[in-house]
This record gives sequence, structure tokens and C-alpha cells, in this order.
Amino acid sequence: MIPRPPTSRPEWRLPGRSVNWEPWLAPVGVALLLLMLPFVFGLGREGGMELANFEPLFRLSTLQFLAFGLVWTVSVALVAILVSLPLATLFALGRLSGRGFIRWPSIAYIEGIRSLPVLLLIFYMFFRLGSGQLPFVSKDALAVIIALTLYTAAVNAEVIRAGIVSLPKGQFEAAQALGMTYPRMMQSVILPQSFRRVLPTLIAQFTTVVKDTSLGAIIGTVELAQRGRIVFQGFRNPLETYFVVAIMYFVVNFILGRISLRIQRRRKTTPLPREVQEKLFADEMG
Amino acid sequence: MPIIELKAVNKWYGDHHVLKDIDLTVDEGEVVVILGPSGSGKSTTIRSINRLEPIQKGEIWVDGVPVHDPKAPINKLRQEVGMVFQLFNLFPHLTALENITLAPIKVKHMSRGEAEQRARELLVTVGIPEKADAYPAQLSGGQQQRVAIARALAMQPKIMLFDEPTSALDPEMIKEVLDVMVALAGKGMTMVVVTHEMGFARNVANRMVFMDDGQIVEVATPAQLFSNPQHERTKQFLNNILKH
Ligand SMILES: Nc1ncnc2c1ncn2[C@@H]1O[C@H](COP(=O)(O)OP(=O)(O)O)[C@@H](O)[C@H]1O
Ligand SMILES: [Mg+2]
Repeated sequence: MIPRPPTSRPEWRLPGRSVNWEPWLAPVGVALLLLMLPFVFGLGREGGMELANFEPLFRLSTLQFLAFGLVWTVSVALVAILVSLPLATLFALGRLSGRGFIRWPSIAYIEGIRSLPVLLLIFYMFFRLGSGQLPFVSKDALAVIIALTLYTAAVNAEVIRAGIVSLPKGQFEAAQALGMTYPRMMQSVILPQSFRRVLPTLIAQFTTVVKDTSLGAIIGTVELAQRGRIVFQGFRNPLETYFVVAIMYFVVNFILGRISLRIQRRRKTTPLPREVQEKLFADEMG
Repeated sequence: MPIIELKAVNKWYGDHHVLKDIDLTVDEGEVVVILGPSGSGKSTTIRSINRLEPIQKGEIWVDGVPVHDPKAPINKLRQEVGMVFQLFNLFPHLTALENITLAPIKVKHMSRGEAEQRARELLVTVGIPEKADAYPAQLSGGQQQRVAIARALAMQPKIMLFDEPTSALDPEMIKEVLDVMVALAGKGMTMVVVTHEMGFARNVANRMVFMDDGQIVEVATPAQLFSNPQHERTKQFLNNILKH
């Protein structure tokens, strides 16, 4: 496999020229869209949102009530994300293993869990946990955490595996030629590069975790979306309440996206030097 | 005393017989250049020496270790056998210095301070001390290959294997890499080099090995091979590459 020379990059994208607005375009665009939504839903029109209905939402007690839901959502999502990542890595490596007794269970886990609705996993965990009292966490929160962890581990195992197999064979060979054992090669050479390559996809999956915490409503957790429901039943302002709740979800995932951008910007790109690529390209063309 | 010994080595890819009864010995301190047409099995041969390619038949002994034996302590041996690749294969997420210190620290458990000091010395040896903190993507091909050589040397190997180390490089960069290799040979390093750089072979090689179609066709000193090749295929090949 001969690498192709990269298409030439426009000058204005070179670093240090001017402010690079590009990373801001998407979030700014979404923010504008969100701000326009009230009008789309007919702010002030018959059956639409009304400015007056926003007022009770910005009372301290309401905000506090919603903020607890937000904290719940963020904590549950964070635990699920942090625990799922090492699990996903293990399953990715398991699926790539040359040993059948490691590979086949990994495949079964990944394909099995991925094909189930998260909702079903949450239900299952909820009933599986029985009726005993747990320290630190409520039963419903734990059920959501376990379900989201297992599901995300399965999905991200495939993402990480894709990252590993996308690396040039030469990276594995160089590591082996230096006398590295398999775990050493994975830890120091292969996984760091794989994670960098699939980081955007991993983060996308993490934003899904944040959103899927709302499925906890089905077993009675009072997470963010569910708290929104309680709020609007008091104030009879569902459109306005969900609008505010939507912005809260957006802010969390926006922050996740910014973290991803920051890590990505630190990553070092892989390509061979231009003149080498051009030479190989020319050689191949004869 | 041979430090590398290939005895009747055979390898197949499926039905494709790519190495046919390869016999080759390399003495300590010797520089052996392998040449031959594309697809003749040069890479497979050199890569079998540190078992990047396992073989199916025959024996390979390297510094007393039976490489053909699946139970041989291969990672220990690989620490003594440096390898340099056509496409450098530097680790792109690490700086030049980190590329060089990684294996000494993680594999040989050398202290970071000592590893870094040795790495900086090696960067001086290969002529780019100022590039210690550069990432591979910020280096030219010639500089990358010199870092790759330093990375291999950092393990203090007894043997260095080079698989077409300059064939991906522009002419002006070929020289800077060959200079490093010539100096290394001058210090008595045992080297097996797949290359078509005939100037290098003529000046440095003790013996040359011509391969074609999975076989060793001819082994001779550079002087013999260039002035008086014994086989028709060798003559043809040399005519072709020396014409250019
Ligand atoms: N991984 C592989 N799978 C199948 N065939 C291969 C593989 N690697 C090399 N070969 C074949 O083995 C032969 C020898 O290849 P190689 O040792 O790379 O030759 P050289 O380095 O002399 O160009 C070629 O015919 C090549 O197509
Ligand atoms: Mg080759």
C-alpha cells in the first residue's frame, strides 16, 4: 500500500495566520438555531411559547430543581463513560486476539450487547438489582450506570478496534523489532495512536451517553428530562420548560465537544514527509 | 565466527514459494549487502532474521539463538538486532527524542536520565542534535530515517538490519543517511543491508548476495561481483541498474 500525496492545503488554514474560526462554526450555528427555536415554535402565537411562561423557570427554586437533574445526568454519564472506556479497550483487544477462547466471547459480547435497545438493558439491570438497599447510589441510578456502561463499552470496542486496524503495519513491526512485548507495544505505541485517531467518534458516543441518561425516566429516576416534566406540570409551560432543558443538555455536550477539540489539536499527524510521498507516488506510477 | 546463520530456509505464502533453500552466514563485524529484483525475496530474508516473518522450514541461528524455534526468547534477541525500514516507521505521537528513548526505558528499564543522555549523543552521531524535540511529521525523510537509525542504535544492538533504507528518499537525502551507515560500518557493526546503492556496496560491503526468484543466485565480494559476475541473471541485473 503506497500512501497518496495529500491534496494541497489552502494557505489560510495554516496555523498562525489569523484566528481560526472553524472549530467555533458548528457550536455557534447550533446556538443560533436554538435561539431561533422559540420563533419556529411560534413564540407569542396561539399555542406557541410565550415569554411570560419563561418567568417561573428562572426562579431560584426551579433552577435548583433542574440543576439537581443536570448534576444527576452528568454524574451518571461521567461514571458510565469513564468505566466503559477501559472495558471497551479490553473488548477491542479481545476481538483482535489470536486466541479463540478470548476472541469469541469478545465478539459475542460486542455483537450481543450492541444489538439490544439500551432501554431493555436498563429494565433488565433494574430488576436484576432486586430490592436491597445500596450504599452511595440509588438502585435506579446504578441500573442506568451499568446499562449505559455495558452498552457504551460494546459500541466503543468496535470504534477502538477500527482505530487499531487503521494503523500502518509498520508501527507494529517497528515496536516488535525493538523487542517490545505485546502489552508494551499496545500500551506505548498502538493504543495512544488509535485513541487519537478515533477520538471524534468516541466523543460522539459519549454525547449519546449523556442523552441516553434520560431513558432512566422509565424506571423512575428523576433525571433532567424527568424533572422538566415535573416542572411544567406545575407551571403548565411544557414548551418553555423543555426548551430550557434542551439548552442544558446542549451545554453539557458542547463542553464535551470542546474537550475533544482540545485533545485533537494536541495530536500529531502521521503523514510521511511530502517529498517521500511524492517520490513513492511517482515510483508507483512508473 | 558467524553471528547469523540461515540454513536451508524455506518460506511459502500459501502456494507461493518465496524463499527456496536460503543458506547464508554473516560473520561478526561483517557488512553484507543483498540485492536483486523486486519480489525476489530480499525483504522476506532480512525480516526472517528477527522473525518479523516466521519461516516454515530450515534453521536460523542469530547470536546462538534458534530463531526458527517458536520457543526461542525472541524479544530478548530482538533487543540485540536493530532494524531500519524503508518507510522509517517512526512513532508519530512521540518526539524524536522520545522515539529513541522509548525502548531503552520501557524494554531495557534504563533510567530516563541515562536514556535521554544517550539519545542526545546518538542524535549528534546522526547529525541532527537540534531535532530532539521535533515530531516525525516535522522532519524531512532523511531526518526521519536518521532518527530511526538512532532509535535502533539506542538498544545497543550487536546487529543492524536495513531494508532499503534510502529507496523512499530524494537523492540529496540519500547521502546523509548513507554517511551515517558508512560510519556505523566503520565502527565494526555487523550489518545486513538490502539496497541498490551500488556506491555504498562497493565501498562498505564485505560480501554481496544476489537474489532472484526466492533463491540466492550468487555470493561474491563487491569487486568480483561488479567486474566478473558468474551468472547470466546477475549480469543482466547489474547491467540494468548500473545503466541508470
Ligand atoms: N504478506 C505477503 N503475503 C503474500 N505474499 C507476499 C507477502 N509479502 C511478500 N510476498 C511475496 O513474496 C515475494 C517476496 O517478497 P519480498 O521479500 O518483499 O521481495 P523483495 O523485498 O525482494 O522485493 C514476492 O513475490 C511478494 O509478492
Ligand atoms: Mg523489499
